[in-house]
Amino acid sequence: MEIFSKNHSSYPRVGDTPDQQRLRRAYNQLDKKKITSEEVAQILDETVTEIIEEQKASGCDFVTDGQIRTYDPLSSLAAKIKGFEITGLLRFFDTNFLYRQPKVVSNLKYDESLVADDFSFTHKLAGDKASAVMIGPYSLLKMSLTDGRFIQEFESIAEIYARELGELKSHGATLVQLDEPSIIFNATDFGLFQSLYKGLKESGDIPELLLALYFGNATPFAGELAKVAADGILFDFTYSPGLKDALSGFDKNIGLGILNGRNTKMEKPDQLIAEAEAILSKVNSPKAYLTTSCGLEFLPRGRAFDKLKLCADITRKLRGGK
Amino acid sequence: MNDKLKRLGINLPPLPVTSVGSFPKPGYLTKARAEFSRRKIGRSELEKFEKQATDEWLDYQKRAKVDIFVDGEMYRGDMVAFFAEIMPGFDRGGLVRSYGNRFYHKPIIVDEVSWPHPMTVDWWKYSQGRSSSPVKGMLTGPYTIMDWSFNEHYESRREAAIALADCIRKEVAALIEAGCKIIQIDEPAISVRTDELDTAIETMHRVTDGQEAYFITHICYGTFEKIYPKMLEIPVDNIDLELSNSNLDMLGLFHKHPFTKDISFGVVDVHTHVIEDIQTIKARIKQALEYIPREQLWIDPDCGFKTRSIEETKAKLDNIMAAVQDFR
Repeated sequence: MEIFSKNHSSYPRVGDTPDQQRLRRAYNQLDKKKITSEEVAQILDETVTEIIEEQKASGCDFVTDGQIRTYDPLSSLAAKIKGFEITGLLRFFDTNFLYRQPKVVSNLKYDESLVADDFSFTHKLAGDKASAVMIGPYSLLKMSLTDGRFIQEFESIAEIYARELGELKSHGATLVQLDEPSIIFNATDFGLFQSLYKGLKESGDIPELLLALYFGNATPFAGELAKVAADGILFDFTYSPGLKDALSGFDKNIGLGILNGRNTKMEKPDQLIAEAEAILSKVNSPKAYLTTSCGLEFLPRGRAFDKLKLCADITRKLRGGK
Repeated sequence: MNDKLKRLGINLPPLPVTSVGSFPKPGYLTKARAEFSRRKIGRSELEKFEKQATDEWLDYQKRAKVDIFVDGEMYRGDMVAFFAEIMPGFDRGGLVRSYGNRFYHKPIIVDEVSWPHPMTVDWWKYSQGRSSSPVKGMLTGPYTIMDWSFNEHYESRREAAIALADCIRKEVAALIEAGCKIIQIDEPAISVRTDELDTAIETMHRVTDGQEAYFITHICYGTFEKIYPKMLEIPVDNIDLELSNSNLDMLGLFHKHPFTKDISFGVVDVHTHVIEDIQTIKARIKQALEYIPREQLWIDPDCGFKTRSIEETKAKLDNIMAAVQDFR
C-alpha cells in the first residue's frame, strides 16, 4: 500500500498578517471599482502560488489551489454551466459558511472550463502532486434548486463532468477529487449515484477519481460506497463512528480524514497513528491518502498549516512503519 | 403574545416594524475601529465615535417611525466574537471566512467560560435613554456562540452550550434588571443540525425560563424544512426569520403546520444591492397574511444590515415603512 499526505481541498485564502490579506483587500477595492478584474486575477495567481508553497513547506504530498478562486464551492462552478442561475444564500451543511444556491432554469450544458483552465496554473507549480478539486455532479445538482428537473438534468450534468474530467486529464491532472457530501444524506439516491459514476468512469481516459464525503456519518453506507465506480473514497472519520469496522475488506483507494478540519484543537500524533493503522489494517486499499476531515478553510491559516504539517509528519511515520 | 407585551407595558401598532440588529457602520467609525486595532486611538476615543454612530441610527429610526428600535451594534464587529472577547474562557482565534469576501475572528474556547459582568446593558441603557420607542436588548444565543467557536476545552458540544447558556441567562437577567422588556437572542446556527435541535431548545430554556421579558430569536439561512415545526418548541415569544432571500418558500411549511408563535417576517433581502420597491414588499406582506394571523405578524428585514451601505439600508427600511402603512 502506498501512503500519501494530501491537502483535503480548500485552504484559508487570508491569514492574520497584512501580507496574507492582499486578496481580501483586492476584492474590497474591486467592489469600490478602485482596481480592475485583471489586477484581482494577478493577485489570485500570486495567492495560489503562496499557498501552494505553504502546503509544500508543510511536507504535504498532494496540494491543491486551496479553491481560493471560488466564491463558494457551488455557485462559482454553476455560474460556468449554461442553464443555472444563482440565487440566495444558504448555510453549507452544518457550518457557519454560506453559499449561493444555484437554480436550474433550463437544460444544463457545458459552456466553459469549470476548473481545468485554472488547474493548469496549479499544475505548473506542483506538477503531478497537484490535485484538482471540485464539487461533484451529484451534490451540485442535489444542492441546487431543480424545480422537479433533478432526474431530467442528471444525464446533462454527467456529460458536463465527463467533458471536464477529460479536460483535466489533458491539462495534466492525475488525481481529481470530487466532493459528494450530499449522497450520505440522500441514501435513496444511491442507485442514481452509482449509475452516474459508472457513466463517468466509462466516459473515456480520465484521471484517478477520489470522491470525498464529509459532514455526515458514512458508516451505514460503506457497502454501497464500495460499489461506486470511483478509484477511491475519502471519508470524514470525525462524523462516522464505527466506520473503521464497516470498511473491512474495502479495496478502493481510501482517504483517511482523521484530523479534524473543523476544530483548532491539535490531535496527538500517537493517537492519529494508532487510528490510521487500525483503519489501514482492515482495508485492502492500493493507496491511502491521509488528510483532514474536510477542507482547511474552516480553520485560521496558521492552524490549517499546523494540521497539514501534522498530517505530513504522521504520514512519513506510517510509511516508515509499513 | 400581545397579552404579554401589554403586561410589560408595551403597546405596538398592528404589524410592528423592527430591524434584526446590525446597521452598517459609517466611514468615520470604520476608520476609528481600524485605528483602535492598530492602537493609534484609545478605547474612550473609539467609544465617542461608536456613540455618535449609534445616535445617528437612533435618529434615523425615529424619523422613519420604526416601532421597535435596535442600537445598530456600532460597538460590535462579529456577533459571536463580541461576547467571546469579553467573557473569560475564550481566546481570540484567527480569521475564518464566512462567505464571499467576509471574514471574522472565530473565537476558541480554551477554558471554563463565565459571565464577567453585564456586557450589553450599558449600550442598551444608552440607546433606550435616547429613544421614546422600545429598544431591543440584543444577545447572541448560547448554541450559536458554541457552534461558531472552536472548542478546545469542553468534552462535548452540549456541555459547552450549557455552560454558555448559564452565562447568557445572567446577561438576560441584567438587561431585565435595567428595564429592558424586549430581548432578542440570536440563534442563526440552530437551523442546520437537526440532531442538535433538542440541545438548542434546552439551552434556550436555561436562558429564558422564569425571566419576564418578551423574547425573540433570530434564525436565518438554514434548512428550515428540516427543523420545522419542531423549532416552534424554542421557548421564545417570537421567531424572527429570513424569508425573502429564499422567495418566501417557507410559507409552504406554514400551510402544512400553522406557525404558532409571533413571527418577525423578513420582507427584504439584506444580501442584495437591489432595493425592493414598495409594491414588492406589499406583495410579500400580503402573502404572509395568508398564512400568519395578523396579530402574530411583525415586519422586518431578513437579517442584519451590516453588509449593506447606509443608503441601501435606509432605502430598504423606508420602503418597508411605506409598505406597512396600507396594512394598518
